[in-house]
Amino acid sequence: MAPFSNIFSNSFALWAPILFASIGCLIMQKAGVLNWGVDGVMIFGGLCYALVIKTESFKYHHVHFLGFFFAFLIGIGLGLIHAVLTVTLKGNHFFVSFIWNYLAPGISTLILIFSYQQKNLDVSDIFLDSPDFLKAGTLLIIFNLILVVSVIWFFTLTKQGLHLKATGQRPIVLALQKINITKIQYLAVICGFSLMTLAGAFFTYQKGSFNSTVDNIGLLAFAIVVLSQWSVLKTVFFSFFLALFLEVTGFLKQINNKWWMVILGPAVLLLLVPLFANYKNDDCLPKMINTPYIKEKK
Amino acid sequence: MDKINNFWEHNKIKSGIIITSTSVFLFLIIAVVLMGFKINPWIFYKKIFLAPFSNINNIHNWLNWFSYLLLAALATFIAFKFRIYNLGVIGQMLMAAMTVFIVSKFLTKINITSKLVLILLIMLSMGVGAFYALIAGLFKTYLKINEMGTTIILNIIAINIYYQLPEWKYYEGGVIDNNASLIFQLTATFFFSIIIFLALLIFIFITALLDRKVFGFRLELTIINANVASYARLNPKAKQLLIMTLSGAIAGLAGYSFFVGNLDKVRALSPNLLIEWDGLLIVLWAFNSRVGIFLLSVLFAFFRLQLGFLSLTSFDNEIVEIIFSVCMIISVLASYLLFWNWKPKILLNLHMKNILTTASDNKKIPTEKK
Repeated sequence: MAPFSNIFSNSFALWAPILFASIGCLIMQKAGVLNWGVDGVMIFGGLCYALVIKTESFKYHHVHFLGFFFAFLIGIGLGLIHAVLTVTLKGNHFFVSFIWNYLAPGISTLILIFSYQQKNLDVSDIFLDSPDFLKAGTLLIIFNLILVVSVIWFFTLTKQGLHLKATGQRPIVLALQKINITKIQYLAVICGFSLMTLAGAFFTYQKGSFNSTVDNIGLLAFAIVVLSQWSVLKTVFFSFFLALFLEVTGFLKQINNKWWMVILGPAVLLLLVPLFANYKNDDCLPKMINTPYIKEKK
Repeated sequence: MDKINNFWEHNKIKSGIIITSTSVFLFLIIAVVLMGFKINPWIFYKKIFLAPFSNINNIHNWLNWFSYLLLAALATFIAFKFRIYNLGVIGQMLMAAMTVFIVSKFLTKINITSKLVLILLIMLSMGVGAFYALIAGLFKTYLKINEMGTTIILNIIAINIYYQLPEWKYYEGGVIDNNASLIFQLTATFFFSIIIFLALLIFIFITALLDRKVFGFRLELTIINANVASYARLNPKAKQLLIMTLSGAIAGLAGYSFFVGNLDKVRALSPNLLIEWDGLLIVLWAFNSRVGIFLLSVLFAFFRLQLGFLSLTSFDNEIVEIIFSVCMIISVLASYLLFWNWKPKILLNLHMKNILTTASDNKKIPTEKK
C-alpha cells in the first residue's frame, strides 16, 4: 500500500502548481485577458523562491513562507506590466505572452550564472529542518483547499465575481452601470499573475531544485482552463486528475518502461474532456479575449 | 494627392513601420549590450549577416532555416488570419517528422532507397500534419472545445513521444536515410535542398488562394459572420475544418524539413522550445501581414543559423532572448502609438490644409437660385 499512498500524496503536491497556475489563467481569461506564457511567469516565481531560500541572511526555520511571499510580490509586479501592455496599450495578448517565455529563461539563467556559477540550483536543503507536516506536501494541500474554496466562493457568491465574468463576456453591461472595466481587468491580471508565480514557487519547492524550466506545467495549466470551457469546478477536477495521472504514469514507467506511458496523462485527459463538455452553440470562449475594450465616447 | 494625405490610414503601412523600427531597435540594443560586455558589436553583425554568405554550404543552411521559418509561419498565419488559434504547429511538425522518419527506416529495411520515394514522404508528412490538426478541428466544431486547449495537449503528447524516439529499436543513432533526405547533390561539393522551392510555392499558393480566388472571400465571410455564411449555403464548420487541415499540412511539411529532411541526423528539440515557437512569434510580430512574415523569416533565419556559433560570451543565447523580449515590448508600445493614438503632426497639417482648401473651393462654386 505504501507506493499508492506515496503516489496519492505526491499527486497532491504536484496538484498545487497546476491548480494555482490554472486558476490564475482562469481569473485572467474570465476578465478577457489572455496569457499563454504561463511557463515564463512560473519560472520567475520559481527563481524568486530559489533566490530567497539560498540567501544567507534568510537562513532560519520556515524560510519557504518568505519565498512564497516574495514570489507573490514579484507576480504583482509582472502582472502590472502585463496589464499595462495588454489593457492600456492594447497589445496582442498572444504576442505579449511571448515576452515572458523569452524573458524568464534568459534572466533566470543569467542570474544563476552570475550569482552561483551554475545553471541548476539545489534548494532541497530546506526540507532538512522542516517539521513532518511540511515534508509530505501537507502544506500544499492546505493551500490548495484554501484556493479552491475561495475561488468557488468568489465566482458564485460575490458581486465582484459576477462583474469579473461580465468583463470577459459583455463589458458594455458594466459600462452602463458606470463600473470601471479597466480597473477590473488590472486587478484580474495582477491576481492571476500572483497565483502563477506562486505556482512556480510551489513547483520549485516540491521539486527541490531550480533549473529555469517548469517542465511545461504552465502550458498544461493553460490547456486545462480551455478544456474545462472556463468552468471553475472542471478546472479544479481536471488539474487534480492530470496531477494524479502524471504521478501514476511516472510510477508505472519505473516498473515497466514503455514509451506510451509518458503520453497517458495528457491523452486520457483529452479523451475525458468530451464526457464533461458543455455542448452549447459555441466553445464558451470569453468574447473579450484578445480584443481591446474601447470606451465609447458620448 | 488624397492617397498621399491618407496613406497614414492604411494599417499595412503602419505595421510595416513598426516591424522596421523594432528590427532597427533590435540591432541598436544588441550593439549597446555588447559594448557593455566590452565586445565590438561589428563582430556580432559580421557573424550574423556575413558568415552565412561566406561559402555555398552556409548559404544552403541559411536557405533551409528560412524555408522552415517561412513554412511554420505560414501554417500559423493561415489559421490566425481566420481567428482559429492553432497553437499546435509544433505538435503537427513533430508528428509529421516522426512518421516520415519511421516510414523511411521501414522502406530502407525493404531495400527501397530511391529518391522517388521523396514525393510519397512529402505527401505523407503533409497528410500526418493535416490529420493531427484535424483532431483539434473536430474537437472545436463538433465537441465545442476551443482549439487552444486541444492543440496544446496534442503538442505535449507529440513532444513526449519525440523524446522517446531514441528508444525505438530501428532508431540507429537517428541517421537519416537517403530516401528521406530533401538534399540533392548537384556537384561534388554543392548540395541543395528542394525545400526552398516548396516553401516559396506554398507562399505564392496561399497569396493567390486568399487574395485572388473566391475561396478566400468565402472563407473570410464564414469567419466574419458565420450566420450570414450559412444562409449563403457556406458551411462554417466545414470551412473551419478546412483551415485547420491546410494549416496542419503546411506545418507537417515544415516539420519534415526542419527535423528530418535537411539533416544527417534527427534534430533534437531546443531546451526551452523557443526555436520551435518561432513560427507563431513571426506571425504575431508581423501583424499577420504576408510581406512582414517573409521579411521577418529572413531576419530570424540569420539569427537562428548563427546564434549557436557566436561564442562572444558564454551566455549569447540568454542575452539575445532578453533583447528579443525588450524589442517585443517596444513593438507593443509602437503599435499602441501608431494604431490607437498618434498621427504625425506634418500629416495632420496636410490633412487640415486639404480640408480648408476644399472648403474654400466649395464656397467659390456659385449656387443656383431657384
